[in-house]
Amino acid sequence: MENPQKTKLNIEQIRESLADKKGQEMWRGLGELAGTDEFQQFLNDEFPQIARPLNMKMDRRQFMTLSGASLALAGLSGCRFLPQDRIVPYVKAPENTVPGRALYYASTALFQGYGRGIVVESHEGRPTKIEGNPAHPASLGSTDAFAQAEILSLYDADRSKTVFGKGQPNSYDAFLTAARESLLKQKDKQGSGIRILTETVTSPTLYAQIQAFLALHPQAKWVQYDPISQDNVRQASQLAFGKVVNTVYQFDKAERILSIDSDFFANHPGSVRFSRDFSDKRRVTEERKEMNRLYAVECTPKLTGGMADHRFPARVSDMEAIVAAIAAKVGVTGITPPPVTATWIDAVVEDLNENRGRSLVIAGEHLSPATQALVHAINAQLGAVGSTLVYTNPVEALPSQQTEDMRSLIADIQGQKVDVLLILGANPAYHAPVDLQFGANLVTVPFTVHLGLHRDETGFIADWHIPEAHFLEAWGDARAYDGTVSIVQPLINPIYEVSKSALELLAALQGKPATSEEAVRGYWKARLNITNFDKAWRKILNEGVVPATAEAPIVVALKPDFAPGISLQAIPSGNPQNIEVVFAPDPTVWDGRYANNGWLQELPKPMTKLTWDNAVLMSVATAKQLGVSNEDIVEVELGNRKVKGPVWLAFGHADNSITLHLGYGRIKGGAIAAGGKGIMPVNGWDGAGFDANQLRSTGALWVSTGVSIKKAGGTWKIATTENHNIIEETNGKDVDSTFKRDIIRLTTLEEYKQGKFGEPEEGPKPAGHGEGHHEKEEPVSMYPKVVGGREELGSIGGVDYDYKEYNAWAMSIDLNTCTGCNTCTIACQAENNIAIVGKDLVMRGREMHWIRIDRYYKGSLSNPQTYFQPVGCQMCELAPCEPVCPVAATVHSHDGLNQMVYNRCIGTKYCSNNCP
Amino acid sequence: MSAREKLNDDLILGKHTFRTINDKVNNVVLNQNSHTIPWAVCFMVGFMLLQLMGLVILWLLYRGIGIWGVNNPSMWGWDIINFVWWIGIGHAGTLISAILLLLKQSWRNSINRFAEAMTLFAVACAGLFPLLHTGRPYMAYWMFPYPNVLAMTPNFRSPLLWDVFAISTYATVSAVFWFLGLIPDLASLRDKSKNPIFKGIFGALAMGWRGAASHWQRYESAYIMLAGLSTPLVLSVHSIVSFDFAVANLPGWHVTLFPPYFVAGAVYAGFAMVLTLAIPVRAWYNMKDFITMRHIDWMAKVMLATGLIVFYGYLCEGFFSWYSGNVFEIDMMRFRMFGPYGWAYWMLILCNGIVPQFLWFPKIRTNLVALFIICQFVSLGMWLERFVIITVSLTRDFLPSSWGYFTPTIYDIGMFVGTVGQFTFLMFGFLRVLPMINNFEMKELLYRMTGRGHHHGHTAHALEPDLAGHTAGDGEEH
Amino acid sequence: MSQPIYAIVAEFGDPDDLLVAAEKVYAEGYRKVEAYSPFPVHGVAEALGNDCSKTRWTCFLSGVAGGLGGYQLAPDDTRSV
Repeated sequence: MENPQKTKLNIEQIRESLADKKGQEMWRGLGELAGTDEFQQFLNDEFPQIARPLNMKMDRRQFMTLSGASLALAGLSGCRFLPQDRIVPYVKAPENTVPGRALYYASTALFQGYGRGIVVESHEGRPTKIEGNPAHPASLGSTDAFAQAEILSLYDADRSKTVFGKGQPNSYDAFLTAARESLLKQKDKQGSGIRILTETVTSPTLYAQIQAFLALHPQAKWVQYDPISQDNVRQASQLAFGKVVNTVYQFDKAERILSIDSDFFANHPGSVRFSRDFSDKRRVTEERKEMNRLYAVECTPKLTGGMADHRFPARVSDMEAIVAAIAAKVGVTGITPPPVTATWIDAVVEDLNENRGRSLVIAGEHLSPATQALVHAINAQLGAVGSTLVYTNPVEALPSQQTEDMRSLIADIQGQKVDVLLILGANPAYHAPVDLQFGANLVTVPFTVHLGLHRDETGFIADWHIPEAHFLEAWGDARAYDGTVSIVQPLINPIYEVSKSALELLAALQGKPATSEEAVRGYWKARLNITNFDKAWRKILNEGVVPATAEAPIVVALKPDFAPGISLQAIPSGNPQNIEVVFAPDPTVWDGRYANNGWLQELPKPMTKLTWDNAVLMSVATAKQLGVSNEDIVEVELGNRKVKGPVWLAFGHADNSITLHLGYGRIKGGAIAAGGKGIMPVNGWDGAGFDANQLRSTGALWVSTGVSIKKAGGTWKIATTENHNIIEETNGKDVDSTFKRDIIRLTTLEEYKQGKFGEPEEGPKPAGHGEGHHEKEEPVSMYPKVVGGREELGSIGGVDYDYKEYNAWAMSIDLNTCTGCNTCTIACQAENNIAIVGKDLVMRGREMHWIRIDRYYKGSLSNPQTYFQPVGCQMCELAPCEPVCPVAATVHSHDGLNQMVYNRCIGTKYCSNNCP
Repeated sequence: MSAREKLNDDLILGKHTFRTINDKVNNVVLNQNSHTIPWAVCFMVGFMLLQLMGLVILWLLYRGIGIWGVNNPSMWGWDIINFVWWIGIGHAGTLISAILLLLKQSWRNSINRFAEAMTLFAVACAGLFPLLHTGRPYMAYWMFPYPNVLAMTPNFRSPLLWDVFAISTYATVSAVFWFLGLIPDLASLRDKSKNPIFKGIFGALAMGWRGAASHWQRYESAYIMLAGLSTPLVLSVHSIVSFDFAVANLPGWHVTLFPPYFVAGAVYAGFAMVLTLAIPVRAWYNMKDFITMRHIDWMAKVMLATGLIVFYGYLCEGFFSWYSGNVFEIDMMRFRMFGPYGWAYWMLILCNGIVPQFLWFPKIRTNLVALFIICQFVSLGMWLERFVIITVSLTRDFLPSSWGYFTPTIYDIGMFVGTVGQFTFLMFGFLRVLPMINNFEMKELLYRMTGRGHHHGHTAHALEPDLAGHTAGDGEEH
Repeated sequence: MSQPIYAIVAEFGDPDDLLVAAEKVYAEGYRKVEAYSPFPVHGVAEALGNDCSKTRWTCFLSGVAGGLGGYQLAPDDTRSV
């Protein structure tokens, strides 16, 4: 039977022999094949359970009868036939693995290059949920919306899966060959034609790798560029102190905070920590019946303004003058501020002065260096240094003037001095300032390599594109806003095998290939240099932080020639009518890197509640002046560049100013970035939003006056989740009706201390009572009262509740401390795997979030007070949704939770109608 | 006999004997030539719209209820509006058949067959919606309590479930009631028809009816019991439908007035529909002798009465909103009147409040054209009432952030128009194959009108020959 | 003997006459009598000794059975435990 001389068949051969056959021929082919001994042998090897019972020899008919579709030889193109082995269930499971129980690993999420500790939940080897790391100072157990949504980015179907070389799928080995060739050519020039472009690097290991690479090629240059650049911060620091320092804010020590257009609740590497610290001082408890006070000077309405006790709208162009005035008032010597009309400055300064040592002024990172330097001076004057903030050495591995470096890079490219350009994890072809024309210049470089999660705008035009490993797939490290180092620990092998992290790529390019684990571990072993490193390493990985790596406070002093050293700009052209444009990172897609993350696209932006789009934000007065209103398309012209976008009214926006959020209008971002499902092109547009980068130049990265806005005709439908435009039609009365309805209760701290919990101005009057009676009407509650022990049960509507037998579940949200950041919405979406519906359906009011943050305004249209109220399922004990479902698809659990049983639901929607 | 009604000649006009009644009524069914162009047009239009509905339903089952305009917060839109509207229309028929029977109002005799058929067809149109408005209609059988391995029972606290039982009860009782009443007439058709196929069909349906006294005795007993069953149904079914809203806590829905208000509205809309059908049909089929102006007049009066109740209901709602002092109720009324759907509310007041006032005037009541137009306004008004109650209340919930808007899509409209087509199709089909007037009851009425055994010479009615249309010695069967 | 008479049919032009006849026939002792009319004539059925108690009892018992059966369908207690 077995003829050892016959060649053993393998699947390739079988496929080959059948390759050109079709239809009946195919069957005949298979049949003939069945008759051969070789095939019998193959069958025995591969499918022993079939071959054995047939006693080896079978005729064609038998084979046909048995194989049917199950063997389907012709279609086995995707299989890899691994050596035959046995599959067994876990007899000795990997450590701690119990199927069905999650494991938790500490890792680090990156934001603007800085690290924030996270703990990732993993099921059967797959990361499913990201939470904060309580041991990490930048997190303290919390995360932000971006970190929560990163889990979806990991599984993004639009991630690049193959290496691309010259526009064609290629192999990594081919890339290495080509790369080595190019690098070899640079050897004689000492590498002077090599440039590495990354975003801001805080990672010690990556820095070490880059230094090692640069050591091999001494004339090579390394450029860091982040579109949300901190250049002004560094320059301000230089102006004030003569060197670059890192400011670590300690909001938990501040009683009075003045924010100059800072978005510290969301847009700062330390914002998660800041939110926590701020709320510690904000929360009114039994022990502490005091609150901190936040003043906000703001242009674009932001979370800071939403939380602020007093908000003062001002244009970004005017902020320098305002800060100068404050500085002068506070007592910084040598400042002569230009005249400024801001009547509130005196009161604010007085308050700050009264609280020296407990007050803090924080400036937005986009403000001019002069402004930020002045703020440093103000803080110094207020005694904030050492109490509410500390200065440390910079956390970045190598602080640099990023915009300048980019300019030089482009100059070098244009001067044909660049032969090799490695872009590691950045997308400058999309977001670099438009005057640099990065994309056009990139293609002139002979050898370009792009390492990125997506084959994005840069990856598309680069010579080589290597898929990047997500941070959940590769080792790394990062430093937090205060310098603490934490390790990026992967939870899963790269989903696309060919993905590489920057560490691996650099190592390979140096000719010393190493995995990212080896790199990171190796670096830390050398740096920590302790005995029993393994034990220490395990502890570091377990906790997620490398101990004692926070930067120590340093003492810096204002330069003696500080004041005269600042040349204050006069208010541009003195003409308030000169409209300015402000560029800002988008609250949900940041600079565009999250444009393909469906959760973030559909997350309503905290202040404007827009989804799937950006808009030209402006105040009501400005809109009136321009004769536009919501959804009108306008053309914004700056210099000789134009961009079209829809108008959206942002209540509280400074007048004569417009805000353009970055991150939209991507052309190679993926399906979601292109607008998701259901988008109809309008006016020749496709995709989500417009690209504000088209107006952004190196000379005016953040703000510029001299912009002209005109109606371009047509409207662009915007999907917003705040379906009723509260202020729009009737009268401002709607604005108040929220409060009349007792939905949001407001009171001042003084009244609160006196026990008045906020009566609505015109509250529900108990019917039938005369004037002047003082009883407070008991509101209807969905939670029955417990009036006593077991014998005296609370009872409403005849239903007795014995809280000893049944639990009542409740979640209370402190509306005082809620910043409206919307992280809870994304976390809920991540945890419960809630679907996104796309722009079209959001417009129809069918978004599926289980918790949303309602945003209410009170006051005037030009500067209203903002109140946030998260609304999720209240898990009512007497849930109105439960009695009305005809099939009992919504029931109450023992724990007191309301349960929606999806598989029982037939979709009558009565539960939704009856939910108050 | 009720003291209220004066039996007078006006209930049957013209010279009639049993034979003429018999012939006239049966002729419509037996003589195919009696259906002329108006019938053909209505039937064809109904049929086409029915096909439209079929297509919409197919598309609905394929794509899901997302093709409608329902959204968050307006989870119920035209689907439930149409459902309530149609069920309401059905109540007039049952009122005429059952309640007027118990009240011994013999003017019901000529209209009850036709009205009860209208009820059945209206319920058929309505019954589609509770099934199709669900997201998973193929699981709708879970609303029925059948033994199952899940040990799951439907939730009896839910008004939707009460609906299931109420509507199915209503449908079955109405069907049985209607059919029972049909039996003697089917027997008459069996006896009179010449075509063997029809004879066979009618014969099978007539279940061996011979008109024997024992048959009549059982018939009357059963009929009155069914009438007794149907009477509370008139009141309860629409009350239960109103509970869909009254039991919920939404401002605008949570109104204790709803059960009587809805029932009155149902009768109101139902009579409008009866008149809408009766006025043209009696002209086309020359039934003016049987459905006389007396009938029209009385039906218009019932419409006026129930219309006034409905209008009173609106005034009550307005008053309650204000008197409650509850900001949600007050706002609800405010939004209804002055909000984005204010036009619907004022249209509603016009249709249901102002227009029926014209019915005070006998001249208008007896003017068939004017009455027909008024009935259209009433139908529209009742539809708008459901719209205002259901959709407008949903768009303004407790939390302002839950407010929204509702816009119907073409599938909403298509479905509604389709059900109108279904109704028309069924109705005109019925006219063709079944006697639209209750044959024997008309004869009974004729007998009673002419007095027992007294042959008043002065009456112009069918006395010579005798009532049976026989002259002495004439052995014809009747 | 001429042919046996199986039945006698009498036709009346008036329902009142029918009633009178029915009563008389019943009084004479005839039991296999049936009276036909195009609409119910009250009194005739009773005069001939018909009663429809079967119908009434069937209805009543069906109603009771239906009612009790219906109660079995619904749970006694709707609190979720």
